Amino acid sequence: MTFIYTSVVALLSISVLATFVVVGRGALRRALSRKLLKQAVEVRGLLQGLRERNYKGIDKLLFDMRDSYDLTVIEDELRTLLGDDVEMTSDAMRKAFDLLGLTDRYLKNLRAASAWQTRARSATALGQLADPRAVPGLLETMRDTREDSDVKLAAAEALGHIRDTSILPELCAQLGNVDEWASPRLAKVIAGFGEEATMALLDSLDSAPNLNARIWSAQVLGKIRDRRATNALVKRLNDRSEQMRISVANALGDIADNRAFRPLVEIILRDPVPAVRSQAATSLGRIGDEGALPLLVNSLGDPEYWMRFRALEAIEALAPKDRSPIENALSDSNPEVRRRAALALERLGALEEAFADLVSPEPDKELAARTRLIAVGRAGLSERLARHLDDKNVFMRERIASLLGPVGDSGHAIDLLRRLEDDSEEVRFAAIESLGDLGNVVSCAPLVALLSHSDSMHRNQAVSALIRFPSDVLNQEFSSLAALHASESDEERFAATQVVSMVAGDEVDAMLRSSLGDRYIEVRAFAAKTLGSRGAAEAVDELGLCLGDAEDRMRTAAATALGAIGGDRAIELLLAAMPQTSGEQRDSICATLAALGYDSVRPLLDVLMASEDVKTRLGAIWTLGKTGDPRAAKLLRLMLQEEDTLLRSSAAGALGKIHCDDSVEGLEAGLEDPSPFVRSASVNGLGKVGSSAQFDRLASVLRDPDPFVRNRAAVALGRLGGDKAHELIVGVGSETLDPALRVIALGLTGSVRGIGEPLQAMKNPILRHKVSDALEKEEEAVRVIFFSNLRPKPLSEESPMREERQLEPDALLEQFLDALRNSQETATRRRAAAALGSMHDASAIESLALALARDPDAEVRQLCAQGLATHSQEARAKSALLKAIVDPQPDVRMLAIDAVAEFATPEEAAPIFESLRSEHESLVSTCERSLARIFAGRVEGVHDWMMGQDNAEMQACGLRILRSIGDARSLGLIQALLQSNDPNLRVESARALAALKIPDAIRAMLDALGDPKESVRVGILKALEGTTRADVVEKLQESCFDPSVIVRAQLTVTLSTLDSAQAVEILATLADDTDSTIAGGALLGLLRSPDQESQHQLLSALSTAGNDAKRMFRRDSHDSMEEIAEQSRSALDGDVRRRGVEVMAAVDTMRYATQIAEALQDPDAKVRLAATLALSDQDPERVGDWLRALLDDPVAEVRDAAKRALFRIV
Amino acid sequence: MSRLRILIVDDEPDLLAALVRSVKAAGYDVSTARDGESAITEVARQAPDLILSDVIMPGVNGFQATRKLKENEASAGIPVILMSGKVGPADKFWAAEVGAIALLKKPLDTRDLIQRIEDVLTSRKRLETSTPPPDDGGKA
Repeated sequence: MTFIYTSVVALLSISVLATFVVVGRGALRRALSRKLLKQAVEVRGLLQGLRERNYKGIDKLLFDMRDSYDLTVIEDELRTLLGDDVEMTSDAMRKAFDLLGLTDRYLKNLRAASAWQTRARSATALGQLADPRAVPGLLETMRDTREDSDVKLAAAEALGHIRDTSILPELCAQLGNVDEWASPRLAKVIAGFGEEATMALLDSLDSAPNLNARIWSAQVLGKIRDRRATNALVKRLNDRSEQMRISVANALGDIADNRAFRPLVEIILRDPVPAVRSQAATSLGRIGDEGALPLLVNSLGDPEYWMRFRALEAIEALAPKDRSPIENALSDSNPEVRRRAALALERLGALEEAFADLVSPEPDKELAARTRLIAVGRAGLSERLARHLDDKNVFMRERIASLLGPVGDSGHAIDLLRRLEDDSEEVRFAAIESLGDLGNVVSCAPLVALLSHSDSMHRNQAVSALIRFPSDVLNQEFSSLAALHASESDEERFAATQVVSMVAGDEVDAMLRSSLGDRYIEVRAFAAKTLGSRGAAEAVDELGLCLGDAEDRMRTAAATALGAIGGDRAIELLLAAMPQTSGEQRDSICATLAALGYDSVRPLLDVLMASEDVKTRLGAIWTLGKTGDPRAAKLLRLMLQEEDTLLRSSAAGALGKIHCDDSVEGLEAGLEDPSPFVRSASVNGLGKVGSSAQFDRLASVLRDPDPFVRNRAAVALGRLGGDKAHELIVGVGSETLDPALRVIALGLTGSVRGIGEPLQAMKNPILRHKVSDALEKEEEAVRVIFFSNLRPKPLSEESPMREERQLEPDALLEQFLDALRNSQETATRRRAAAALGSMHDASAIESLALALARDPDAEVRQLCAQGLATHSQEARAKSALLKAIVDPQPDVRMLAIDAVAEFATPEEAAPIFESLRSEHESLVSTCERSLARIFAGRVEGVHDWMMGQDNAEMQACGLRILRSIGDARSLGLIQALLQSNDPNLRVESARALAALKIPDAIRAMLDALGDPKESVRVGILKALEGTTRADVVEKLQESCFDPSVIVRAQLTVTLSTLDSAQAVEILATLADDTDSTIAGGALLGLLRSPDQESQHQLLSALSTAGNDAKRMFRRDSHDSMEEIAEQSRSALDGDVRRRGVEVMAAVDTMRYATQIAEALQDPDAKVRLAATLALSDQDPERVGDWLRALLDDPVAEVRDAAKRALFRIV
Repeated sequence: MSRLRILIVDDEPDLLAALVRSVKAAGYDVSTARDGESAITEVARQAPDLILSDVIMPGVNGFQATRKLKENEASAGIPVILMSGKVGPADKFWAAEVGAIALLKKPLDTRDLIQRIEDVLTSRKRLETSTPPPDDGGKA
């Protein structure tokens, strides 16, 4: 018990004691807090007192405080002031922190304190103090991978706060350390210095050993936006690192300095890395120079989608007036690019404009808006379109409803179904049509319900929509359709039959078979046709019965269906029907039989051919033709021998359907047929199955006595097509052909050169009408080719658009104009450009001019430049060509530069000088030629450009231009350049001097013959060719001793061009040169020299020349020998003729024996004698007869020589 | 008496600054321009006693600027010293053609340059002071 009592007391005591301790400690802490708070208030008051004096005397105050106040309180208050007052960071304050030892503590704690809060606090304090001593520690903190992120952030902020420009190089150097966390923050700190950091960053950009540092420097320079960095950054656009080039391009975009425009353009054109090109495109957009547009538009054709995406962004940033490039991008192959283009158009306000145009009363505007909005919808913004379905404007609702179908987002079926209740009939129809396009299951039942609508238009629209639905969707409404099929109403049955025919299954076949006996012809014919296409074999007999139907349409439909189903029974039924057929039915039956294939019908054809019934034999011919099988051609060629003209012409027509050599040969034979019908059918056939090999045959038929045959030949040539066909038709003369058929034939050729003429011709309304009538009589294929060729885009054979078949020339021209302006297909625009180039029309020129300035495709621009060049007398063509001389594509530039040479003023030609810097050799040559033409007579303009050119390449270009101009006023400049250190320049100078053709220039060239460089001396000698002057020949004599063989060889060539006895003397001397090349060259020179004495010297030199020299001479002299042979034949002077013979004999008697033998007939005995002597040691077989003929020569000397020669031979 | 004024034309800021320092130190007043076009404008604003111009500059170069100045009666008499990093035969030709008094090769020796300027200005002054007496109409 006592123990328990004692224990309880002890426990209570402990509890009480613990309570006292806890309470006591709390009280003590509160007391201490109160004390510290009191101290803080006092310290703050004291410090505030000093604030007005910029803390002057703070050191003394702090010294006094140290004993009276807690150091933590002082520090806290000082830190509070630091945080409040930026101005606080005075030297006095920094000293105060130093005095209290706080700065040292922060520096130490920054890296050594164990608690992250202490390290972060230290970093912040050091930043607030802006103490440069903290920089290394702060940087180390930032680089420490194990450091806490809050501490690192505090360090980064502190570095920014310190803002000591002396640390910039160190900060820039630190950018080189790869650290994903620290580097961006460090970059931000440096960027915070603003333009003060530019020079340090430029140093780093230029010479930092680490690529990473250079890349970051470029990026930070961009953020600072100091234009002083532009040049240095531009230089780095060619850095080997693509990351560097990307960063630089981005930075130049940030700076937006116009000086970066050209270099960025170059990058877009040339950089191999798509990411660099795309960044350059973005930056160009940010620079905001509209001059970038053509290039950016061009970049929309870049193979990299990312590049196209960026180019779009850049174009959007430039907000161009002409949005067609963005619209073109709506059909880009990449969905991202398409969507971006749509968004760009929306942001530029183009969608609102398109919505406004969509309800425009002008059809062109409406159509353009419709096309644009469909493209926008397909690019992913269909929701924007659907919003307008509830528009108050009925036209808007109708047009939006109509374009949601082509957009193709089936999600909008619900929106369209709502419009089936619209007050406006047009809106309802448009909605039905679009629902058909979308084929969404939710709209099937409502549309089937419309099949029993009282209004036929609604029914027809619903049918047209439903037949585009998938079969399985329609099958869900089969019971409703079956009920309608049994309806009393003809129209409802017809509608149901059409729709149900799209559903697969035997039930539907049975339904269609029952329809064959329907009272309504539309239902019967449709059922027959559908059963055929469904291959319903069980319906053959029922269809056979239909071959005797009262209605012609039904009989034809049944025949077609039977052919489609095929099989013995079907063929039997069709053949049985043949003799009773009309032309249309026969055609249908023949087509049906032919479709079964040659092998299937061949056994039956023997029976048909043997028939006495002409209709049956015609049927056989037609069937053979329609098989298109080459084996049928042999049979048909036999039919060309038939007596009956109808059968022969039908056989020719049938051959025209079979592509094989037999057909072509048969048809060529048919061209000789006495009947013009057969000839015209043959001509037609050749137009279909012939080839360019038949051009000549058809060209001869263009002169057939029968005008019908001639016209058919023209059309046939047109069908074979091409430039050659165009040439033949044009060549035959317009009076030979019917004007309308001539236009058709020209149009059919498809020659781009030929488009202009038919279009021009059709401006005559009477002719146009005749063309239209004539086309009606042609085959559909001919019409399609004709209309296709006269349009920028090929016309589909199935094209249902009647307006596509109109021949309004203005409308056709408008189509080409529209195609060039708006077509998204490059091939179409190219064709339009070529066609418009051949038309003489102001709007064509305008359109070409616009396309030349902005079409993204280089070939289109090239074609535009070609077209405009043919109209270069027109002001608009001139201005467009002048703009194109800076086109980014060299080929376009060349065309434009060549064309503007006709009319450009020196001021306008200034950009051409820039193109001389191109690496494209042809472009440089074109520029030189063009500039020479522009500055002819105004040579000072070229001088002005050359003034101060410090590039040898450019000076050489200038010299070539001066050479082409050949103006004596260039003498001084060229003479100065002849003194240049660059040997190439000296050679160009010599050539330019030669072109001046003035004594001073020649003297300067002669002085330069002592040039130390061999190539220069050769160049000068070459330039002196043909310059026959005493001083020139005199000076050339010195070159005989030139140490260079190449120089002496050129000397022989130059001397051979001079008509001078002294030159001949020099050549004779050179013929003794120890070098066989020179000696041989001198002999050649003597042969070619225009001086009369040279041949004499040649004969003499040949007698002493070495073998090598002679061999070389004989090898190279043949091209001159024709002239010598001519001399021996026709020179007036007998001595000259004789010398000709002697030269031929000296060069190669054997080779020129025939020519020498001609001289045996010469009236001059000296010539005959020379020839006799020359031939005296030749092959007796060859020359014996010639010499024997001379035995009767009237001159004894000749006779003797002949005798001697013959004797020697024997 | 006012000091002689020299117009220095160069597109390189550092070089321009160095030339300005040297020429000023030699006791001349200095005006500057960064290219040929501005030089012509500056001359029209205040004609200098001598022009010291670089050749290769963006836009109108030193040769072209000199030629324009010489074509203008008001500035034709101002002596022009041209300077260039490249002094080839064509450059010498153009310098003479446009009427420059000298073509100096860069880098320039400052003492030589100042001496050349002084020579040009002295001979010009001598020329002015030795101007023949006004025409008396042939009476003398």
